Amino acid sequence: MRMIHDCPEAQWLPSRSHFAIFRLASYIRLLTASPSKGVRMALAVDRDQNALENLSISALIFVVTVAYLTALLAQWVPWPAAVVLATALAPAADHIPFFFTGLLALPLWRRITGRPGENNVAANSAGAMTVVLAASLWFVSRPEPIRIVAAAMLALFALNAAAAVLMWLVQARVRELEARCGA
Amino acid sequence: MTRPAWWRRFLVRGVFWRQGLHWAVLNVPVWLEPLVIAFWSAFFLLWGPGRRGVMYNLRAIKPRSFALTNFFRTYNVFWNYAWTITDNARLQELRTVPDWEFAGWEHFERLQSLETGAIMLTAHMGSYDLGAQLFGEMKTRTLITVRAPEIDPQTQQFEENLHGRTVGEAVNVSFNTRANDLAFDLLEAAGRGDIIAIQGDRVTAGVSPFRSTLFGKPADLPAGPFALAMAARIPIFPLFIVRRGRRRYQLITCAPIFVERRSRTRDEDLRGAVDQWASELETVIGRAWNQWFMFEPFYGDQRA
Repeated sequence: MRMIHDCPEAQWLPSRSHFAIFRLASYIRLLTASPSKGVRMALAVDRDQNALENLSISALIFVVTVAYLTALLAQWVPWPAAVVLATALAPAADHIPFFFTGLLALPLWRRITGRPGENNVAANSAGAMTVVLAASLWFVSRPEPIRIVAAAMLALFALNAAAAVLMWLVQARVRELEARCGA
Repeated sequence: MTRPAWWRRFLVRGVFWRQGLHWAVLNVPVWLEPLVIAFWSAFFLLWGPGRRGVMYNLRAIKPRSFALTNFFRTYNVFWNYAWTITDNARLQELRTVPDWEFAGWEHFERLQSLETGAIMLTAHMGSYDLGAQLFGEMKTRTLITVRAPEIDPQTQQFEENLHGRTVGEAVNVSFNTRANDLAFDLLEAAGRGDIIAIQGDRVTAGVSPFRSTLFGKPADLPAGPFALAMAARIPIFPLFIVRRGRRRYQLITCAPIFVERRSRTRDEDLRGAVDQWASELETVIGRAWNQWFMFEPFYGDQRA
């Protein structure tokens, strides 16, 4: 992994973010950042290094999971109880599926395809986002107020896609700015 | 009571949880990490001795606090600990490193430019392996890290295997299992000009204690590092790794402590150095109490 030394503005490198929206925001911030000197630090260039992105996406997924679970549970229990139950269940619901994929599905897939390695993060990440997208598409067609949450989530997916297109258009400029920081 | 081996795997210091953490690093999407860590930090609050140990220590660090406040602070300690061991596991599995900030850089430069050996005295804060990786990247000299062995033999084996495959040639990990043999090895290493990293905030079985004061309470600190510094005539650099945010750590290097033979008794010579170390320790822990991963009481009758 690459490390950039003593260049504080490198914290805004787009390549330190995962999702296109955050890469775009970092790019805009990097354009306005002024070079600093005399600061001792070492920054890692890794696409999952953006703390704001990491915490906000995690919080968003939690809220959306609570909302979707509440909508499901409200069919059987009063909605205040459904909210409490959904809040308690959401953290487990968000990561328990990986026990299935990591222990069974992906090892089996590797055995069939003969591909080596133990790192399932990228596959699980793409799979989990697909599940969120599919759930949002399903809930947006429902008559209940949950469709508003689902529509907002789909709007975010669309915004991220638009940001990805923008980032593709400015990729040469991004590379130039990153090279200036030594990345 | 002796528990069967299969059961010991699932105790809080058992190998099951270490394996689970490494498995999670290879399976859980990074953008779900805060949620997963929040969940498991809350789960581990069920670990009574650890929770009570942290709360007991917080009574000394934050003397005018309510018990309920310290309970939530304990969660904060568990949360930070979970992040730190996750970052450590990610380094070991995926070679992913965090961002680093530096405080006391002039002391760190002095440590690196020394022609003699030196002791880096640290506390149970941050991660040894993350610090060792940073040190390895600087590649100036050999670092020997001394750490207490794991209580559980399977966990110890797991850790030894991991260290065998993750640390580079510049870092040598020694487990403090044979105190006498290790003392001679370290003396020899100090003579070669190596840097020796030792944790100086807890006395474990077989380690000779030195009574000092921490947060106004009588506390035992290990005498070994100071005796080694005196025998090898090398300085001690207090050095702390403090987590500053997600995948962001600060390396704090303090001014060196010199232990010199001046009086007739060894204890008198050690006293000043140990108290100076206790003072540095108190300052750093006072500012970063949520980073001190001391799960046993450090003072009073409840000490392990």
